[in-house]
Amino acid sequence: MVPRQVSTVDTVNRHRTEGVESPVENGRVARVWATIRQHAERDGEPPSLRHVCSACAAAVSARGAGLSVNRGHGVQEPVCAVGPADELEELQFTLGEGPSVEAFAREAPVLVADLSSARTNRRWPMFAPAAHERGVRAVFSFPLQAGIVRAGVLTIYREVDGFLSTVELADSLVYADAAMLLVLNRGKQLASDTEHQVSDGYDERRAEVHQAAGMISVQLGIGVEDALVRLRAHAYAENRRLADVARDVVARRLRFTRERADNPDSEGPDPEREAPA
Amino acid sequence: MTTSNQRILDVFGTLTQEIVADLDVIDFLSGLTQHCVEILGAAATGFLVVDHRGTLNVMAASTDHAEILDVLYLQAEEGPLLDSVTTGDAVLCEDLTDAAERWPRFVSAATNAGFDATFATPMRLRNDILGGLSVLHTRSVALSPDLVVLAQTLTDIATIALVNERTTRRDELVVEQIQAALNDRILVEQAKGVLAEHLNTTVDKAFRALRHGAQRNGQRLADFARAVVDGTADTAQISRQADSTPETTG
Repeated sequence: MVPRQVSTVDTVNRHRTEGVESPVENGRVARVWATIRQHAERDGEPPSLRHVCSACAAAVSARGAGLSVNRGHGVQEPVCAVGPADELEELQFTLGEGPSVEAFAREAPVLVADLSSARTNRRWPMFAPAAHERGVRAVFSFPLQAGIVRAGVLTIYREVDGFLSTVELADSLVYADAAMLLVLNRGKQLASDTEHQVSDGYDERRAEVHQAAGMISVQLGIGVEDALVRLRAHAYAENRRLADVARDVVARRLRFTRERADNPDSEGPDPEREAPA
Repeated sequence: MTTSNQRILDVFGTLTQEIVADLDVIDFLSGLTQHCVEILGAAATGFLVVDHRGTLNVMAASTDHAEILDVLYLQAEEGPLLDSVTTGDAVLCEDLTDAAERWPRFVSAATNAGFDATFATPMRLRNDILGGLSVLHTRSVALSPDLVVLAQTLTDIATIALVNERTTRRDELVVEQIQAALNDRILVEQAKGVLAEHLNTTVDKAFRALRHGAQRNGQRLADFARAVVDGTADTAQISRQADSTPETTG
């Protein structure tokens, strides 16, 4: 056999007629954050949940988008909205029915392409006609979640019926990710630039980050979401990458202690280091 | 290939039985990476899938060793697995030092972690590619066509498992199935952390205790992980069971 350095073999389908399209698009997260920043700059403010809503609505040609966050004990609260989403988000939580409520409960996206169908009217007998009356024809809800953490729901309200395109669907999920990161920042400006936000989001997928959040939740006797908040705040305060700090926790080079966590006056989390056992 | 044909048949029999039974996808893929290590004579293996962001994400790995996970995660940006997912072909590299120009960061990380050869096979579903299998060897090996075909078959089994789990649910697209599976995997990682802290052990050992506990309770790994994280599972009992379970290697 001829010596080879790197070779490729078509093991799957030697007779395929058309080439495959690469599913990898490493620029999507950066592109989404760039639109959020544009909307924030237009307002002369740092990026916030409202800018995620407005940028997301613009990206998928929708009139409205709204965000609700999880206040714990099954309570979901609308926090911001653009366009007709404002009233409709409130209405859902008053009625206890609708796509945001359902996406939160099911922990899965709720995609409804035709709000006026008989099926949708049976599903949401009060919400569906109310939304239709306000010109909404399709709704798409995406939970902000990471394992057990359910931070909230992003809902898109569109005035044309039909499904989101593949690109719009993928983009919407990335806007939901961005919203999740902002919720976990608890209103503080942790990530200052797009590059930081992208790498932050990238680290968020690392196994060690979630293992560390699980460990910290036990160390501090708090929920995993709050543990993740503390881990992120600590990485920011020390100007280190989230994945690196998480790895220190998993390797037991870093421990979060309860005394500090219980002190509301302390300047953010200040875990004590302990020598490895 | 050093694995006997009988052993390969046994493993395939077990795998297909699990798929036609009530499949627990996260547990299945984790176990599959171990089978890949054994059957392919590899040092480490991992499945990466393309998530909704359009980037590759580790779905299952044969180890929790940080340095090896780095080599897997890095392939979201560069390396044989990314090339395999981009082209739809298997990508082979029998000697990593030859590929330093093509994948500088990957080769540096992989050789530092002790690897000498690698290959990747794509997870294809009709005309789509969902991800791929990364196979890492700690010595230069001849990657025979038989070995690559065997790896591709194991990769296809992973694809079937990934998209099959939820076909009974309506309105679900492949992207949602993958997202749900990735979210289940995060849940398992959180549970590993919770359990490691409760049992004062490593995440590797916590994972073994978690799998064992799920089997004992007859629950899906992700469902049992949820119970561990939300505190409804009895961690004292898991601890006792973990103590009484003989350690398995590999």
